[in-house]
Order: sequence, then C-alpha cells, then structure tokens
Amino acid sequence: MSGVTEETPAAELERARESGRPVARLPRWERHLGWLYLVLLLGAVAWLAWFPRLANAYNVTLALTVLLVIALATSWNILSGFSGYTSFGHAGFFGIGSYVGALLIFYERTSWIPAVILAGFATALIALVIGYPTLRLRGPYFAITMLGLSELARIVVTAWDSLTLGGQGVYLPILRLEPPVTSGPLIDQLRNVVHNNQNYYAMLLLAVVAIVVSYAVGTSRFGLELLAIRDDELAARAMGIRTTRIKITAFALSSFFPGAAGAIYARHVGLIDPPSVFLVIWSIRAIATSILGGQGTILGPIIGAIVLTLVTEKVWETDPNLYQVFLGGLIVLVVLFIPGGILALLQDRGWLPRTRRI
Amino acid sequence: MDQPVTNEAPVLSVDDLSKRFGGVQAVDKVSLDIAPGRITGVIGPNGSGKSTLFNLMTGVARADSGAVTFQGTDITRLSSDRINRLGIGRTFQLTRLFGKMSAIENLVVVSRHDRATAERNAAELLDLVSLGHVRDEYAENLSYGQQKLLEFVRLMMTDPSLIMLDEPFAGVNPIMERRLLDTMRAWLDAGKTIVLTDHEMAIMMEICDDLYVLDYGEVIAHGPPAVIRDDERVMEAYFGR
Ligand SMILES: Nc1ncnc2c1ncn2[C@@H]1O[C@H](COP(=O)(O)OP(=O)(O)OP(=O)(O)O)[C@@H](O)[C@H]1O
Ligand SMILES: [Mg+2]
Repeated sequence: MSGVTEETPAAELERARESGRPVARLPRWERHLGWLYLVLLLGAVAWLAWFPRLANAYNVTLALTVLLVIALATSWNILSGFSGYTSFGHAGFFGIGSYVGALLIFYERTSWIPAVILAGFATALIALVIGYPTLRLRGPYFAITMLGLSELARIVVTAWDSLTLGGQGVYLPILRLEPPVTSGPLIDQLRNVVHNNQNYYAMLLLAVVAIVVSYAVGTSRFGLELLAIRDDELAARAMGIRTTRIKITAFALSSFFPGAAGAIYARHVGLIDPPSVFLVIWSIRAIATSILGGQGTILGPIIGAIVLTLVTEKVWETDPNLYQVFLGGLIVLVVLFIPGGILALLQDRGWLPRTRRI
Repeated sequence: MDQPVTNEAPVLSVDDLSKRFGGVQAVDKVSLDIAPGRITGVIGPNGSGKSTLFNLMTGVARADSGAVTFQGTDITRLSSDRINRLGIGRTFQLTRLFGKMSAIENLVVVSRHDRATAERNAAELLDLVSLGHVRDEYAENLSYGQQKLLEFVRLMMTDPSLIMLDEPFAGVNPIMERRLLDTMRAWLDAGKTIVLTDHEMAIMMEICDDLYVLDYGEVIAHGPPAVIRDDERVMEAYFGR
C-alpha cells in the first residue's frame, strides 16, 4: 500500500495554485456570461450590419474575409477542436460547396440563396457518408485521409468537365449594383446597401449561425461528450458514450459551414476553378486560426479569425505561397509557446474567466 | 472445484474465452460464472490476464474466440458503449478520467438523464465521497486518491447492475480503502453485482464470495476464499516461480 496522503481541501487548492497549473474556477457572475455574450454578439452584428455604409469596397471585402474565416474556423472547431480529431477536410468541403453553389446558379436551377443553403446541406450529407468509415481512424490517420479525400474531390471535379466545366472554371453573373441611396426613408437606404453587399451580408449571417451553433454545442452535453472523446475516447465508450454517432454528428454539423461559405465565396469572386477553391490552405487557415485563438473553445476561433486575418491579409495578397509558409511557422510558434492560444493567454492573465462556457 | 456459490442463475457467464497478443496467450479458454448480488474476485500474478479478461468482458478488447453472456444476451461482439448501456460499468487499472474536464463534468457527461437531473446527481455523488470542494477542478489536477474516487462515482452515474473494478485498492491509503469498501457494501445492499481484481490478498480473501485464480491466462483454481487459500497450485503460481 503506497503512501498517498490525504490532503485537506485548502492544501490541495494551494498546491494547485502554486504549481501554476490551470484551475477551473467559475466566478459567481459566470452564470450571467451567456447574456453578456449575447449582448456583445448583437452589438457586433449591429455594427457589422452598418459597416458597408461606413467603409469602402476594400474594407468591406476585408470584413467579408474575416467573417469567412470565422465561419471556417468556428465550424472546424466543432469537430476538430472539441473532439481532437484534426481534419484537413475543410478545403474539400469548401471546394465542393463552391461548386455545388456555383453550378446551381450557373445552370439556373435555383436562385442564389437556396444555392448557398443547398451547398451547405450537400457537404453535410457527404460528411455523413464519409464520416462513418473515416472517423474510426485514429488521430493522424484521420487527418491524412481527409487530406487525401479533399484532393480526390478536386480531381473528380476537374475530370467531370461535362458538368463542372473542368479546369476552365465557372463564371458567375456579375452582381448589378444600384446607385447608392443616402437619403430618404431608412428602410430604402438599408435595402439599397443590402442589395449592393449581398455576399457580405450572407457571410455575416453564416458566421453568426456558426457562432450560435458553436455556442450551443460548446455549452451542451453534446459538447462535453466531444471533449470526453478528446480526453479519452476508450474510456468515453466504456462509460456508454456513443462515440461514433457523436463524432459523425459533429462532422456533419462542422462541414455544413465550409460548404455554404464556399458557395458565397464563389459568388463573391465571380470565377472559381478547382485549384482556387480546393486549396489546402483553406484547411490550414481554419486550423491555424483555431489553434492561434484557442481550440476546443467557443471564443478562440473567433478571436483567432479576427487577429490572424487582419494581420495576414497583406501577406495573402502578395503571395499565397509565402502565406502558407507564414501560417506553418505561426502554428509551430503558437503550439510551442502559447499552447492554449490567445484565449488561454487572456485567461492566465485573469482578463477572462476560466470557464467551459467560452 | 466448480461449486456454485448460489443456486441463482449467473448474471454473466464467460465461455471458453481466448485472446492472444502476438506470441502471448493473454487469456486462454477462460470460463466463469458471476453470481448475482455477490462479489466475485479474479486474482493471479502480474501478467496473468486479469485486465485483458476485463477488457474482453466489457467490449474494450475483442475476443479471438469464446462467448460472454450477460443476462441472457450474447455481448461478445458488442461495442463497449452498448455493453455499458446494458448495465455493465467498470473502472480501469490506471484511472482513465477526462483530464481537461472538471470533476463535475466528468460525471455529467456520462449521465443519461436531462442536464438538470444529471448535475444534481453529480453534485450529490461528489458530496457523498467528499469531493464537493473540487467539483470545478480539472480531473487531471486532482490527487491520485481523489481521481480514484472520481472514477468510482463516475461509474455510479450510469447506475450499472454489474460493476467491474480493476485493482481499485492499488496505491490507495487505508482511509480511502475504507471509503471504497463502504461504497462497495452500499452497492451490494442496492442489489448490484461486483467483479473485482486486486493484488491485496488480505482484502480479496475477506470480501469476495467467490474467487477465480488465473495463471498464464488460464483458470487454475475456483472456489470460495477458504478453499483457494489452501490450494497448492495457487500458492505455486504466486510464489513458486
Ligand atoms: N495490448 C496488449 N498488447 C500486447 N500484449 C498485451 C496487451 N495487453 C496485455 N498484454 C499481455 O497480455 C498478458 C496479460 O496482461 P494483463 O494486463 O491482462 O495481465 P494482468 O493480470 O492484468 O496483470 P497485472 O496484475 O500486472 O495488472 C501480459 O503478458 C501482457 O503483457
Ligand atoms: Mg491488470
């Protein structure tokens, strides 16, 4: 019988504090945090909704990119951040969604809004089908398999040119802008600005839905089950958690957003071809963003998206290859020096409460 | 040697179960019956196959051949989550908690009740084993003894009818040991069945109603403690090599 001594509660707490390890303390006002976030979110949405009236086209596009990365990183985090199953599939879903959306519009099967929604559901459906075999693979094998499947999707889309127009790409009709309305009834002004910035508003809505879904997952038992899978999948199963079902559900939820985002993106840029949308960098961007902000949290990917996009947009514009190198280096640095990401840094400083609800 | 401890039908039977790892026959044609409402012990020297047997019985590992029947259902090929949902709960030789989740989250996550009920049950269980003050602490920050207790009560969250404990007393101090024993007694009073392995011979002899002795994956002896104590082969397996 080896000597493990009983500690008093106070001694234990002291020990935990001295060791500098994270202590999961919930402040009293923690239960009101949900409301605080709601107010913050509504405030941010209101400001972003007004933003196109204040900013020039360049900055609106920059904001659209931030929102796109929020949607990508937040949704990536739903499976990979919470459950630890790192996926390189986001590029594939983004590409497939771009094509589903673009082709529906190109062949005039639906108008653009249903096209975006259908693109999201198409990728979620694909995730349901491929999730069953692939999510049985452990960590690195799953990551590599998703990388391969993304590449396979690019090859199929390129080869199937009777439907997808192959390597020549798909051109979408240019949005006819209305002359700006800056006077008269507010509702007319609003309708005018929404019309002229449709893709921006669609991306804003998508990012908000992604955040709401992420919050719902992160604060639910479903989210706890994903964390349990991350911490010890074997024990989770042995305790009756239906790990396969949970991983596949998270995968499908997670893949809706890159699909829908791809369709909006296709409309925003007006021309897509396989190399530009099936680009591994879309996966890496989602991953780097989540890691930088703090994966497995709700706020982390949002913080990461804002910081990383604003800091790196210039690099991306100059040279996408350089950008890739930059992101690679950044991931290494963050993992080495701030393993919990920016969020953990803020929590360690005591600027944010240490609570599961973010 | 195969005298049943009760006349009741066994809750769980193992028939000719085998498992091989490379060149090691970890479990070799093991058959055993678990009597309801009793404590059945599985003992044997290090590496004799106790943990592997537990893993096979709970779906954590796949048997090469043989069968496990629980309350009339063949569970040999079921996944461990399905087996758990049929009412078999277990702990692990090395505690397997969800390290980056708080103590209370470790319990809530396995509950099958709605969130509010789950949180209430979890809080009660934590208080029961005096872990209430560390409910929001990450499991990995708890002391060894606290982790053992937490794994114990996590097991109770799903209210299993058959409980399998792999070396619950290893590395545990006398106070904690009493707590574990009290908890096990309460389980028996609630009509549950316990299967247990441990190297603490004194405790095993005292609390088990029925003992199986494994050596090199084989059952070499079976019977009540009084009989096992005097079995030559058992003594030889433990000391004679
Ligand atoms: N996953 C595995 N891969 C390979 N060999 C294994 C594996 N698990 C167990 N073994 C081997 O099977 C045999 C039985 O091991 P097991 O852990 O079941 O014994 P045990 O009776 O629980 O031992 P202990 O008292 O030390 O816990 C040992 O020889 C062990 O090395
Ligand atoms: Mg063992």
